[in-house]
Amino acid sequence: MIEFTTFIQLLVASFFLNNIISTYFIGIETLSKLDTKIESVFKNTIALLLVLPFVSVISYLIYHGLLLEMNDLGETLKDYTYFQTILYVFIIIVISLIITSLIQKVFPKLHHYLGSSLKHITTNTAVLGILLLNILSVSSVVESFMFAVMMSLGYGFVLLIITYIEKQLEKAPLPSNFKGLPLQFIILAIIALIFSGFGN
Amino acid sequence: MKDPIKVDTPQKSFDFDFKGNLNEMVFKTNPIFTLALSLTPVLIFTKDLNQSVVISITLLIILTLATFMFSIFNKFIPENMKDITWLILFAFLITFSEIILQVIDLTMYETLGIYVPLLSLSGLILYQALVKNLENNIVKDTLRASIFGLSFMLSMVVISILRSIITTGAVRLFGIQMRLFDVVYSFTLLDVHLELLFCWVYY
Repeated sequence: MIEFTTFIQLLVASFFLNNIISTYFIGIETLSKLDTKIESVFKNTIALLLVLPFVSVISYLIYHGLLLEMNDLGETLKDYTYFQTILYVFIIIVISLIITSLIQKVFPKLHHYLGSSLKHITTNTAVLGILLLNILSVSSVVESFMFAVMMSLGYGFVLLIITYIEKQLEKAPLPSNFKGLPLQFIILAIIALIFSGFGN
Repeated sequence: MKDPIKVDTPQKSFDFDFKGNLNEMVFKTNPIFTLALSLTPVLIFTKDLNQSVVISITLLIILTLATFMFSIFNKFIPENMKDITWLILFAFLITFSEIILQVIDLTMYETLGIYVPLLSLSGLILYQALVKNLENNIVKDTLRASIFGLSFMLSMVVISILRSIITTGAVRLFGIQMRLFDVVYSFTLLDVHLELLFCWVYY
C-alpha cells in the first residue's frame, strides 16, 4: 500500500519512491524480451499507457460499487473482495481486446508500430500488479487514473535506464556468459539501491 | 519403390519416464535457472524459507490441477482462446487458494500481500513454457506439470536457503531452526581483525 496526502506526493510516490520495477520487482519478465532495443521499451510503455488507465478506472468503479460497500461510520455492509483476482483478470482481458480492436480500426499505423507488444499486454505482470496496488492505495477516480499513468511512465523510465546502460556496456570487454540477463539484473540491483535512497 | 507405410500403433502400456523427466526439467529446462521465468515471486519470496515453501506448494498444486482440468477440454478450445481460458482458470484456482490460505494462516496471507494474485500471471508464463512438451494425454500432461512445479519448488528452496544463510546465518522452517553462525558476532570479529591488520600495516 502506497501512502500519500497531496496530489504532487501521489505523482512522486508512484513514479520514483514506489517504482513498480525497482521497489516491487513486478514486470521484470519483460527484461528478457527487450533484446537491448530502446524502441521496444517505448512500444511496451505505450501499450501499457493505452490499456492500464482505463482498466484501473473501471476496476476502481467496480470495486467500490459492487464488491465493497461501506457505511458512513466505516463499517462494511457487504464484502465480496475475494472475487477481485478473477474479476481483474477478466477486466484486463476484455478491455485489452476492445482497445486493440479499436486501435486496429482507427489508428492502423500505431497498431502496426506497436505490433506484438499490444497483443502480449495481458501476459504482462505489471498490469495486474499496478492494478492491485492502485485499488489498495487510491481514494478517487482521478487519483486512480493519474496513479496508473505515472506508474506506467515509471515502468518505462526504469526499463529505459536498464536498456541504455546495457547498450553502453556492449563495447566493454565482458565475458560472453555475463551478457544478457545477469548483466540486466546487476544493473537493476544498482538502480533499486539508488531508488531506495529516495524514500529516506 | 515406395516406402512401406508406417502405421502409428496406439501405445497400450503406460510408459512415463518419471526419473528422466525430472532430470531433464531440473537441469536442462529449469524454470528459474535456465528459462528465467516468473522471477517476481522468486525475488520476493526467497527472503524467507517459510514463504517460499508455502508459495511453491500452492503453485505446484494449482499448476497440476489446472493442467488436469485444461487437458480435458483442450481439444474443444480454439487456438486463439487458449491463453485466455488458461488465465481465467488459473485466476479461479488462485482465488480458492487465497481463501484457503486465509483460513490456515492469516498472518502469512497478509505478509504475502499482493503477490499471491500475481501468481496467476506467472502461472500463465510457466504454462507457455510447459505447453511445448504436452502431448494431449491427460495423465502424462498432469505428471509433466507436477514435475515442472516440483523443479520450480526445488530451485526456490535452494535459493531461499542460500539467502537465509547469507543474511541471518541460520535456516528456519516452521519453528525448526538450524543455526550455522552468528552474523553480528562474526562481522564484529572480522571488523576487529581488519582493524588489527590495518594497525599492523600502518605502524
